[in-house]
Amino acid sequence: MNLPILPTTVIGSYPRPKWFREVIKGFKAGRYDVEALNEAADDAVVAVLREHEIVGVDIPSDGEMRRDEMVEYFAERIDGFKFYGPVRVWGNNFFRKPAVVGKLSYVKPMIVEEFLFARRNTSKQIIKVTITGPYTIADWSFNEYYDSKEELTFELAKIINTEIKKLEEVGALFVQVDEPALTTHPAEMEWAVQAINKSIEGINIKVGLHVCYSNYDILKPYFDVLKVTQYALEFANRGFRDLEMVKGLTKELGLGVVDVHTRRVEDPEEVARAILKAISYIEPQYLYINPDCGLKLLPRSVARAKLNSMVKGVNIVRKELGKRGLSEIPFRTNI
Amino acid sequence: MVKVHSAIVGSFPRPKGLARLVSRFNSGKISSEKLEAGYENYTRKLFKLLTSSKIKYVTDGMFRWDDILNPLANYISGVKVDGLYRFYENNFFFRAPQIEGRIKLRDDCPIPVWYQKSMEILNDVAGNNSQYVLKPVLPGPLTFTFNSINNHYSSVEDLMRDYAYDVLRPLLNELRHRNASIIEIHEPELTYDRADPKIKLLGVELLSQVFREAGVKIWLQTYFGNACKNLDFLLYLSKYIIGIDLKATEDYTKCFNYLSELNSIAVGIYDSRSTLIERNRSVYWYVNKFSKLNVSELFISNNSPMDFLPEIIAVRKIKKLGRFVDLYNKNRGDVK
Ligand SMILES: [Zn+2]
Repeated sequence: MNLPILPTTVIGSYPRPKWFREVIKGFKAGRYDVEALNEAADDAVVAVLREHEIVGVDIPSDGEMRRDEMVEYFAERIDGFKFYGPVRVWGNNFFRKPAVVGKLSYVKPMIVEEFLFARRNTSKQIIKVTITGPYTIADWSFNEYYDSKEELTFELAKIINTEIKKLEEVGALFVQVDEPALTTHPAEMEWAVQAINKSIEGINIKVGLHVCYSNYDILKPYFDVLKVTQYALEFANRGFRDLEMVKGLTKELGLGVVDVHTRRVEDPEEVARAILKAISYIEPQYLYINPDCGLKLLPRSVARAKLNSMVKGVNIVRKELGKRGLSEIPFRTNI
Repeated sequence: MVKVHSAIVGSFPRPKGLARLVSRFNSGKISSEKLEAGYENYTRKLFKLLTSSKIKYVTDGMFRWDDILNPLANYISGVKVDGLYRFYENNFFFRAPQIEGRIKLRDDCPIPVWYQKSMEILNDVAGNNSQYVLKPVLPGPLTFTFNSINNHYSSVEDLMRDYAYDVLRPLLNELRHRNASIIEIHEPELTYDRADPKIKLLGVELLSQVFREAGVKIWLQTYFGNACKNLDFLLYLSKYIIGIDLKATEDYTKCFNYLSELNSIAVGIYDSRSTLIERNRSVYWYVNKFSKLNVSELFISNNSPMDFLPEIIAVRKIKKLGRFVDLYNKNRGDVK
């Protein structure tokens, strides 16, 4: 299977449509039943997929419409977690931090239905399916049960592995493991990357790894150790300053070209310049283009405008590459 | 035998109801009076919990604070408040002070007034001649400096000095006027592996100087890092109260004998980053051990701000802590 050169994609999350947020609020207040909620979630996924397609994203996602939060969602579906209540993350912002209170066990597929629904509702061949990685789930949880964080992480790796296998069985082609916490405790990197490898062991479809707002110098020594085919990294937020660190990368790079923390919409030319800069360090055949991170915290119109600029910027560079005879790349599942 | 006291340090988790009031205020839905009433209401609730748990050395839960640097940073001229940064290795973020000019405490800094308000509420809850000690909390010079973005000073030393002399000193004076007798200084940076030893030494020298001049006692609270490995700096402030994070200082036996050179020590046994409730048996073991130190006062406390905990767990830990110390002092040993 081939893709246009510089395939465009998203990191995962996308702003929930306003009407969907209203339905969630109404559901919590008892004004809507679960069927109404699910119907609205389905409609929201269709809307997001369509939006991604219209702006020209090659590999869309369902925008993680059904997930409130990336760790919470999985902790609610794995046996052995308990929620004591919200914990502050910053300012007046809280997160329902889960606690591991017993042996963890896989109950049933967590995101398989979500993937199947998305696939039924897009004309695109490939959908990106995101799953939170074992290290981040462990790092963002309290551990009351396992002797060490390492033991907990490996237990989670088995569970995540089971889920990715189920996704593969039903025909998913591209899974992205999200590990924003990965580099936050440098002393734990050595076993953390082994746990991630455990979580993708025996998987034959494409696996990417997303790490954001992190010190990439800590990640770099493990580029070849991690058994993924792609690193989706954030670069717009840092003004593309650390880009030279991808020199010599033997895997694909998912280049973050738009900043998800500002409402200013980048011009296509800016995006094109960033891609050209990346091409001076990595072959264009190994480059995917995406936003820095999930777009969920932006207003929907801004998110869409950013994706639009991203695709237009890519098209500028594609024209140039076309002149060199580069128009397609293979969809790689193994590097 | 050394007297054992119960204490809490730093923040208490911002209650859900208060968080709701803050966000309603931020979006213009309620008045500042309503928010103020909320702060007072929740502070009162906390004092009821603390006094009924017989915790003697307390803070007001720092409900008005977002993190250890804010809103203080908003009341320092020369400082702009910048983006979010990770607070040490926690999944907790703070707004970093961005230093754009010479720093100086502004006259409108409300922290002393907040202290007075909290003191009045505490007196109201516990009765005027109560034996409770309310500690205001402030960041130390090292923690302030190393968690700031310095765009102005040519050296960290200069920034630290100005913070100690022109921010801390006036605050200490104001707080002393309002009858604060002990001021809790948070200095996680002192036990963190980042600042040069010379800079750490300057940090404790500055603290020692401004506290001596102000005539108030310092409760130097360290956390997340190993106190044993930074004992030289702590000994510099040995006549004050030194708070250590026991979880991060698991090898405390290595420096145990030197700890006797401290006048007072606050042992952070109750872990503010774990939902596991400490067992009395193990607390008892530690308290017995530390009570053998030749110090004049021994405090048993949590090990770091409680913002990292869900409220329900913080409440359980506080109750447990208070009950434990009370029983320990009554029975001197027979605590189950
Ligand atoms: Zn991200």
